[in-house]
Amino acid sequence: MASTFINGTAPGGGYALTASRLQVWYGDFHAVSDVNLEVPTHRITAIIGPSGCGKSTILRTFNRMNDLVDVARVEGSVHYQGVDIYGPDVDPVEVRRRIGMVFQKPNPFPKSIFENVAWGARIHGYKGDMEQLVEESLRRVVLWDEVKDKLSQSGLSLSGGQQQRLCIARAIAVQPDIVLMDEPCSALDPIATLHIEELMRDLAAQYTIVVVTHNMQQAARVSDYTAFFSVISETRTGELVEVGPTDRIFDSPEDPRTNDYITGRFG
Amino acid sequence: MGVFTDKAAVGASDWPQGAGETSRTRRRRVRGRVWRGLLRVSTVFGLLVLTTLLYNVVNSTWGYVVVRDQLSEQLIVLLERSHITHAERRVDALRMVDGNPHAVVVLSSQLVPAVPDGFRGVPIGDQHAALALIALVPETNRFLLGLDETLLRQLLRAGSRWADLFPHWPTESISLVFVVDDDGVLSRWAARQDLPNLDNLGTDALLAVLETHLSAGLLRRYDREEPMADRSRANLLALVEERVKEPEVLATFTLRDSLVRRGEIQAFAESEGAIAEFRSWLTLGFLVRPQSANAALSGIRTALLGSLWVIAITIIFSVPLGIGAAIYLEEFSSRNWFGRLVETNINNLAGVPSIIYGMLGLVIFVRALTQITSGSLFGAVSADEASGRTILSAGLTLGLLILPVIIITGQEAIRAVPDSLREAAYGVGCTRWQCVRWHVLPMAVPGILTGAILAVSRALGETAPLVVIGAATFISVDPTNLFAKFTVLPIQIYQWTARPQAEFRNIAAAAILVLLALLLITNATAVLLRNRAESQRI
Ligand SMILES: Nc1ncnc2c1ncn2[C@@H]1O[C@H](COP(=O)(O)OP(=O)(O)OP(=O)(O)O)[C@@H](O)[C@H]1O
Ligand SMILES: [Mg+2]
Repeated sequence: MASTFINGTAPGGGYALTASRLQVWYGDFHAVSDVNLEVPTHRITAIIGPSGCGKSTILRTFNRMNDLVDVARVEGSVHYQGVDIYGPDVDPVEVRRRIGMVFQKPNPFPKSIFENVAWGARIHGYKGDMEQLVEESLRRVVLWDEVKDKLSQSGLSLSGGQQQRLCIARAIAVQPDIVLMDEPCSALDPIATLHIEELMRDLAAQYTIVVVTHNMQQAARVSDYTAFFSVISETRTGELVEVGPTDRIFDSPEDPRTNDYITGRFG
Repeated sequence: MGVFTDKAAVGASDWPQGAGETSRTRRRRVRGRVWRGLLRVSTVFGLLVLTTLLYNVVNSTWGYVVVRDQLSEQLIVLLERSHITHAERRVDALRMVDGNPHAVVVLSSQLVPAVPDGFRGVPIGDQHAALALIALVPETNRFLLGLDETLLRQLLRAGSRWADLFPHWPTESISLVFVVDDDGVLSRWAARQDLPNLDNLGTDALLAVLETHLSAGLLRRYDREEPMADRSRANLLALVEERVKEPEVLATFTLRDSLVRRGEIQAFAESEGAIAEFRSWLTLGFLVRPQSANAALSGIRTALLGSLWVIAITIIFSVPLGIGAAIYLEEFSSRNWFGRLVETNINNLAGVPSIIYGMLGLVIFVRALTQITSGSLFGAVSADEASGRTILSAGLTLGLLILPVIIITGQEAIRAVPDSLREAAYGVGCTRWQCVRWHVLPMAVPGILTGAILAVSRALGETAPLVVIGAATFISVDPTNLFAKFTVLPIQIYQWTARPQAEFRNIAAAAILVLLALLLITNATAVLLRNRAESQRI
């Protein structure tokens, strides 16, 4: 049987991900309601919004990470390459191989630096030159020169910023299509943050990136598109307020809530 | 007045101020110190209890013991060398010494008529006496009649030839002297030190010794346990020591008494005509000797082997099963009411008294599964050998007992693996099993191992359930397969402490030390494995 997905960039350009009528519940708690969002291919889409509005939740629905949460329930659809990733024939393993993820807190495997990058490729049955793949991935995240002499050391022996870059290298080593990043710089100092941002811009040439951030300047600096989420104050349910090109969202937001948030009058 | 003053803020009166604050702080510190003291006291108390326990055990394991052999090694050897085929140690011994040029028999006059023809009236120094060196002593010979053991020993030490004693006696060297009482019992004897001891006897000789001295009934019993001809030399030697030499322990002393009251002990031994020797009840011999009715000769070989066999079965059965269940429950099963029910049950099972597991084992393994646990299904042993009361049953019962503990500790260890690691693994697209195999397990192994080893240590020390399923009370044959009868260290210790004779308490103490050492080895292995697992994780 042919795989549900093909490798590489989706044909037809346009949108890498299309979420429609997406809703998430944690048990009885309606965490996010009715999200319709299109993520453009080879662009950086930033998700911003106040704490607790469901940014991470939405990001995790994009590669079925919420499957791991027992109480989580997802409704609606997320189309990737024309296939609903929540469809009955779709194996989440294949989804996550193409839609990678970088987490808020750097979480390298407690294994060697080499193994951190190589492991994903190995379990997917990568038959090419593993050392070359590791080197390329590490070069791409501008970490190679710092670690090339200590590839056998633990990934945990690196600094926080290095660890986060290692995690990004790990994510891109399996040649995904889309990289989801959940506040990748929140644990980093401004210099390391700048490194990662440059890296994101670099990666955008080949990957579609969705990044959650609390940092308004960061969203403005790196993203092409911005989606603003807010929370309905009575029910604490999150909703998508507005999405569009970053310039437009920051210069002339349509919704007053967006305006309040980005000008700092909210939260 | 306090050291610092507060800024006059709103609600300042709500906070303790000045001297009030200082005394409050002091009180907080005092409370902390009291707690620290209590914690230290509990630690010291625990240490004290442990030290007392160890002191008691060590105190009984080493010390003086006063022993008297029924038959000396030299005599046994001599009798064996003289081809005695008779069990009785009566005056017939004379005939046995006939032809032994190194023996002299000292008889009282009343026995002279009972002496075989060849010996009657032969005076010392006669050519016959020169061959056999048998002296028939008339009552008038006060010197020889008054021989007691001490004198005999002196005599043997003083001169090396008979002629050294009386110039007209033969020049043969003296090696052995028998003294035969009026009733014909060979009562005293003395030997030169260079006479061979039991160690010089081979298997055949030992067999002959046993046949000479043991009753036919006893021989049959031993033969049933294991055919005499098949037994090892060490085994035969142990039997000779136990049944022929028959050392009788007159008294044992603790290590403390041995150090403090040494003189008294020596005097006591002398008065009893016995010897006092400082003995370590814990010796290599103690480890390798089989069980015996005589404490001084008893070893823990069978119990030690039994423990090792049983614990091996327990580990093989419960560790993989327990770890497997823990992984399944933590990583694969869904958290619905059924899963919670299972978990609650496992938690409760861990608290069930061990004797209940014994009863369970009795019903399931010993009775219901007799065919399997006795090995008759596999044609290994005849069914009457041990019925279901075998090593296999014991190992499985202990396995059941510790299974819940292994599951629970395994679950704890797996739960301690941070979710961020799982997310990282799933993030690159691995399956659940790959995540468990390559990330969760390597992280959890040290914890899982610790739990499993603690559980196994507990099983090593379990007694009650094994008593219930029927551990053997006396076996002197090594367990060699799964379907053998068994006894284990704790049961052996229990039985020995229950004996009335003091010396059994000494070997019980020695056995306790062995058990403690075994536990220490188990735990050390765990620490090693743990460190290895941790270092491999980088
Ligand atoms: N595993 C979970 N179980 C139950 N409720 C959850 C779970 N994860 C998140 N929630 C709830 O869902 C809502 C959205 O959470 P989410 O983590 O998506 O917020 P967020 O926008 O990422 O916030 P932040 O910016 O602080 O990270 C919150 O109210 C949170 O309490
Ligand atoms: Mg978040």
